[in-house]
Amino acid sequence: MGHEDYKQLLALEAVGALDREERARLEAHLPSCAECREESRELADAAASLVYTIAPVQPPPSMRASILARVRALDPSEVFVDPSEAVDPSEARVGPRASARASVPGARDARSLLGGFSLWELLTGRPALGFGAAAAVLTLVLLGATALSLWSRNQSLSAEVARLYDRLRATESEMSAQREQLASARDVEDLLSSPGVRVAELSGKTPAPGGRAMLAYDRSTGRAVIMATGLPPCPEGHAYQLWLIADNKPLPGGTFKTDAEGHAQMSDRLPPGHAAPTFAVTLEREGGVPAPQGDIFLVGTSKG
Amino acid sequence: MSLPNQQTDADDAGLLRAVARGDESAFARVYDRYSPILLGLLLRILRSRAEAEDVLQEVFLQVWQQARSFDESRGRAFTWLVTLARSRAIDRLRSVDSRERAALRSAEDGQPVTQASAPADEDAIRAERAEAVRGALGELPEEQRQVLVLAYLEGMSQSEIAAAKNQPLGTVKTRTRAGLKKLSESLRSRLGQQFA
Repeated sequence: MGHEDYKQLLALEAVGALDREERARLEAHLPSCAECREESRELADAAASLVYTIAPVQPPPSMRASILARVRALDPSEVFVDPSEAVDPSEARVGPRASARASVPGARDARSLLGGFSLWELLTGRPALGFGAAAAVLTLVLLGATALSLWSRNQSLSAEVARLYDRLRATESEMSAQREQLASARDVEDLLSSPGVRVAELSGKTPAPGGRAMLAYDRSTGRAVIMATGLPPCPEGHAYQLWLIADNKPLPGGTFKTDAEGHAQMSDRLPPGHAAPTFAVTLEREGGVPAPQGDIFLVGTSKG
Repeated sequence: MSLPNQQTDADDAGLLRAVARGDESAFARVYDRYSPILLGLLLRILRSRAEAEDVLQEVFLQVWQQARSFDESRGRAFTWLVTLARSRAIDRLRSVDSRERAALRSAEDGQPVTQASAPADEDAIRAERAEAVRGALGELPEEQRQVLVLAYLEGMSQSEIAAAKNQPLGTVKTRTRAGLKKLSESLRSRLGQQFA
């Protein structure tokens, strides 16, 4: 493929018009060609700027809160204080970061009530201070003590709120994991109930003699689900890739990795229209390749 | 007028790097700045308010999860965001069958489209860019302008465009490339360094 051909691919990639195979070819070329990388950047920026000709549309206000909540549920290690909400230091806000911020004004108040005097000077009263001044000082000390006690109570309440909030987030992330599992189970059920679907059993080859997989393929839409077991863990930077082989030609499918027990499940879109194709799983570079290069781990043919 | 633009670009890249580190306030700012323009794009491609809003949420979840894959050497932050939104919309367009689409559309009959009310300075930057892009598009031959808009903003594939315009596929591809190159050059001369 000549340089000019890559330049044509660049332009099509910038407007999002490349198929997976062409994109893989272009991606393989870019690291070695500074000129194409530069042009790729320019054309991608130019294409994206077309969006400025469309009138913006304000999303409903509730969406902001809902997206922020979903993001929070995804990452339990972080608590977020929204900068657009006013931070009221007298209120115990949720989360460790927020409570740290809320505690500062309380501490500062106590110190500023005592001013720059040492406690001893204030309690004994220096000769220069009369009775009225001493009473005022005593009031200040009492106020300071009250402020300190309120501050420490606020601290412990904040910690309690933070603890409850952590528990809430843990529950939320558990629920979202379950929702995902449910959605993927529905995917499989959907596919299996479709009339054009065929099931293939794949068995392990030399690198994974204990490997097995079931694959359902809907030839009218190309939708496929593979459930594999007994595969060794992928080495760093590699993934298993699914292939549909028709007329001796392997057509690339998606990539997947195994869990700690060697199980894997993937929903994919394969080229539709093949009556009784053979399926294979190879070990390839992460992200997949347009033509198989690695060892075959699983292979099997669907029953027409 | 090119100074505020460059600042916005540098800001955007900085915001995405902060999002990659898990900074949720940076994420909220990216949302505030770009959700209206991305929703406009999604609505244009999907032609359904409910679907566009649905995809917008997916896009921002993806922004949160994949911000670390943003690479400044491959394009501006704005380009990264738009590319993400656009490909999600196209995926949706090709996966949701017509029955579901009809149901989604009928569910939203009569819902008003709220127009954007962004802070005035961001409006000004957006207006300036919109004017530059319209001007640059206006300099292109009609056929080149059409293929760019159909491919990028309507999400049509090159062969769909060829069929719709009754032109050879090769011609459509050549026009896409010529149009895009010319657009890029013209934008650079209009908006200065940020496109260099």
